[in-house]
Amino acid sequence: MKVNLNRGLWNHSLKIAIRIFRQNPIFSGINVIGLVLGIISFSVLLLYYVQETSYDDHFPNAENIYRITINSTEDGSYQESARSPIPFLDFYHEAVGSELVLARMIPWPGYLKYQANQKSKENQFVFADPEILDIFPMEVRQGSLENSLQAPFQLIITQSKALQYFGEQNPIGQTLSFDEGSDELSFTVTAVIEDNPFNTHLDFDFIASIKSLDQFAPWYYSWFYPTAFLYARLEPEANLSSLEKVAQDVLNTNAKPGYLDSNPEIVFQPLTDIHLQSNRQGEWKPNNTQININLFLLLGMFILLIAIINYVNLTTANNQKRMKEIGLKKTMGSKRDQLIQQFFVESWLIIAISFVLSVLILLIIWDPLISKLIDGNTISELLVNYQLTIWVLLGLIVTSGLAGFYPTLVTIKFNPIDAIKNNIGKYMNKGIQRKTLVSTQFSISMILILITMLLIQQYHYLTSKNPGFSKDYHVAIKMADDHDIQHVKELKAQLSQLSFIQNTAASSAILGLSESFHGFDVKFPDRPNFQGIEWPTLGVDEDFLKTFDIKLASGRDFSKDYITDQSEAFIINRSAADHLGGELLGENIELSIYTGKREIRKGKIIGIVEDFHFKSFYQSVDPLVIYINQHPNFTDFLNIKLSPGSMADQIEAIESVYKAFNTDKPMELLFINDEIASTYQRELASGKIMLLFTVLSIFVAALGAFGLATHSFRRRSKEMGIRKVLGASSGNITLEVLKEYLIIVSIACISAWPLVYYLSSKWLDNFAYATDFGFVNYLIGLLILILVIVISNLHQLIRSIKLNPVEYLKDE
Amino acid sequence: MIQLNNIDKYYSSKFTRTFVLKGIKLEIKSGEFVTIMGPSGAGKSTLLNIIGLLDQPSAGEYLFMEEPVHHFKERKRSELHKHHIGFVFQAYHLIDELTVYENIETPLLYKGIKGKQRKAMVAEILDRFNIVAKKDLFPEQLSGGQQQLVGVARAIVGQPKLLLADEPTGNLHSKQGQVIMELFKELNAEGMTIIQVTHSDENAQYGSRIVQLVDGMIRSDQAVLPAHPKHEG
Ligand SMILES: Nc1ncnc2c1ncn2[C@@H]1O[C@H](COP(=O)(O)OP(=O)(O)O)[C@@H](O)[C@H]1O
Ligand SMILES: [Mg+2]
Repeated sequence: MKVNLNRGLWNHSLKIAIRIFRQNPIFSGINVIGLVLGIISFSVLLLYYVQETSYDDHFPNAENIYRITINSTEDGSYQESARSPIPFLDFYHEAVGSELVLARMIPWPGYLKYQANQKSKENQFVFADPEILDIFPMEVRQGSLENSLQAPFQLIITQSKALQYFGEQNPIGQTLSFDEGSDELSFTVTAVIEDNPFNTHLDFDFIASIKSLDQFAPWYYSWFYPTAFLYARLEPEANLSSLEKVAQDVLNTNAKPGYLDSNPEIVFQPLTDIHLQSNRQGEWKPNNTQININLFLLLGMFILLIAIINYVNLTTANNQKRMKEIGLKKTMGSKRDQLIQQFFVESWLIIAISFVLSVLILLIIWDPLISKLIDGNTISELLVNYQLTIWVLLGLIVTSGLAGFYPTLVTIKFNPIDAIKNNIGKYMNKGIQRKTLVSTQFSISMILILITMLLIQQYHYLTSKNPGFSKDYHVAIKMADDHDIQHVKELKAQLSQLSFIQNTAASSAILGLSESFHGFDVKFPDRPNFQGIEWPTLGVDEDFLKTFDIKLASGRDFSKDYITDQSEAFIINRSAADHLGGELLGENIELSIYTGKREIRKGKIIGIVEDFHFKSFYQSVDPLVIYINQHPNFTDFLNIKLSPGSMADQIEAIESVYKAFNTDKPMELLFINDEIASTYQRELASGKIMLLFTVLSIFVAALGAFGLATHSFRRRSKEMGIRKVLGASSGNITLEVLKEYLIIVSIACISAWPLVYYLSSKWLDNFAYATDFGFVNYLIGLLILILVIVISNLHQLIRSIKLNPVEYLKDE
Repeated sequence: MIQLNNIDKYYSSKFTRTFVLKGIKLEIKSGEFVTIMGPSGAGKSTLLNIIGLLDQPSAGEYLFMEEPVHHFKERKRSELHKHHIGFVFQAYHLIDELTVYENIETPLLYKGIKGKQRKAMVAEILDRFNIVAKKDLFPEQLSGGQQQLVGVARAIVGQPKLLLADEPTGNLHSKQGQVIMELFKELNAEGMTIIQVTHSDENAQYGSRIVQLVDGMIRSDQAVLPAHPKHEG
């Protein structure tokens, strides 16, 4: 009985659904496609938002965990570091031991060897205090966390690394050797843990016991270098501000005097704020920003809004047409009520169909496309988080439910008598509601078009702006080990044999990669006011300026002809010169270099170079001191200038030279252009997502415009016939059709332009070097919008132009 | 002014050709006031549309003002139409969204007549037809007779040489119809060539010549006897 009833209802609904599609394939198709795109875009961007706000909140007591970081100011240069000095923990622990759990993690990239002669670079290798396992409890797959980081040379590895190094074998108790210069350190695997989820700011594959460092690198226990990520888990009732104050006091009383010169200031960062609010020096990995994800969420809402507006506009237009037909037949009454009931069913059916389709499509495209795009969850991970899924589903159901009501409500309000009696009021506010909605759509489209243009243009500007050095044919070999560093001159000589290599130069940093520049103390004995400034430095060999075509403003380049250049010559950049003022050539300069111990180089300024952007365009050019680097410690890269032509061939040749040079390690090659571009990765990623969804939103808006044009043609065909009889040319008709959009486009410009102007100036303020997003861009945006309108109206436009008035003006 | 030689108009479907007009020969001189009569479906409207250059004959020659328009391209035909022909419809076909003033102004806009002159021309017509007070109303606010008056005003505001009217009084009371007919007579007296389609013998008497169309062929073509007593209105 019950079954029959349900089946009857189902059949009935299905019949109606099929009927609507048959009657109005265009309207129904547009509605469904638009809604599906809207729902998908919104779901994706909402889930992205949820994903980005979920960082690190899965750790138990996440709200009580903090990262202890340092702000420092030295001679006017302000720096926010994500890391703290290593000895600080012990003093702090002594002071407040019972109130919190403290642990450090020290990143220590290196080469790992498992089988003979198989070495691979592991960048996510850290040394940590055992308490880290209390603060961040980890899921064990094999072995035990009990005493797993207590003794020297204990090692915890992630599941995927276990698979990579040990395959099917049980890794527990096995050893991996870590290449540390002349030493080979043997670590014993104590536990295998789950890989880090993507939504944590932490980024490690290996955790080794910190006691290991005491054994092979006791110098690590320094206030200066290296530095550690320092985490604290507070008791729930602990008083944060008093703990911060104690920390500052502990630092001020116990730190080395030299360290205190930088006026370090302790900052406790809540763990869950890190991913969206922190952008400090030396982060684990690049973080996101709240503005960015808000923007994306807004984008998702916009697309859904555009789709819902389409749906409302098209459905009301269609419903009204049918009401009018019923009305004209003068058989209203019950038939009208029936019709309204049917409108309800139809509205819901369209929404239900779109909804089911969207979910299906999402399930299919999530893993291969979306999770890559937004760099996150796979669908199975999402489904496991069923609460989230339920919320998203619920939100969508409510939204689309409301959207389903609206067209019928509007239609009920529409009185069919008006249609017959040709009431005056009808023309006064005719389509005002529809025009308002369409104006909203196009305003949104305009905003999206302009913002996308802005992102793309700024990214293009940043990556194509001349940084003041040549970079297009430049690669750099990263020195893999001490052998490389000691013998870099031999490598240079061997590479010079290759005919296509124009130049090679050793350096301590990669141009464009801010973090690779070491800051050291500089003194100018002739200028007592400028004692002890920390400036970025660049240790090079004599070929560096030539290799990168860096221009000298005055003085001379380093030269092998002056043997004293190797220790007594310095070149500074124009920004440094401007900072100091006056004639600088020949002045005395002293540079402190840390080579395990402090070494002070004394010499003279022999040249001043034009400013080049050795850091990103986010910043203006800092002062820079360039010196000849003889000490192996900072010779980290060998830069190579190639020739135009096949990069692949040239690199292959370089690789075979390197293979013979260093038989132990794989070659690590950096492309200078790529390194520079990677600085602007966030702009690129945002730009890509914006572009994709903007195109989608414009497509949805264009679909709506197309549907309305169809409706409008039906409404206006007779009028167009009359106009033709009155002598309207094709041009007149075109204008007449597009005139409807004049107000809509004007509103779009008036509402979107000031907003975009405000937002763009604000955003571009983040950059020391910003593209000029001038009026022309706004006009291009307008042009794109007009083009979209014309294209979506093209079919109806041609129909209007070609229509034969005789057919539309038959007197019945 | 108008010369039709062996005009055919037919519609082809799969296997058959349905003739709407067949072998029409008709000459209309400048200044004539011709009435086309005939049963419904005889092809009157079709003939009028062909004469008005809105439709094309399937065969035959059409000379309009000595020009062989059957050879002309669409664009040139519509130029001729725009400058020399005014149309009045049974259902008025005013543009609902436009006021009386704007409706009358529209053909002048399409003819490219500039602002001041255009205003003057519209004003003159409004005045002549006694509808100045109605100029800001929308069509739906007018009676049928008033709407048709606007229809005529719009048709002649551009001073066409030829006025075509397809059952202009078909939807009107006889009283309203008379007003329109008197107007036509006046316009004809001023030199405008008029061709009207009507079912009313009474209306036909206003013209100078009656063409009877039956089954797409001209059955008779007679002058209206001047002696025939006119209905006084
Ligand atoms: N597009 C068309 N296709 C086929 N037949 C048509 C078409 N237009 C008109 N007709 C036919 O042509 C005939 C003449 O129509 P019409 O000129 O409107 O007659 P009248 O105005 O004399 O009443 C009618 O029988 C009509 O059905
Ligand atoms: Mg007819």
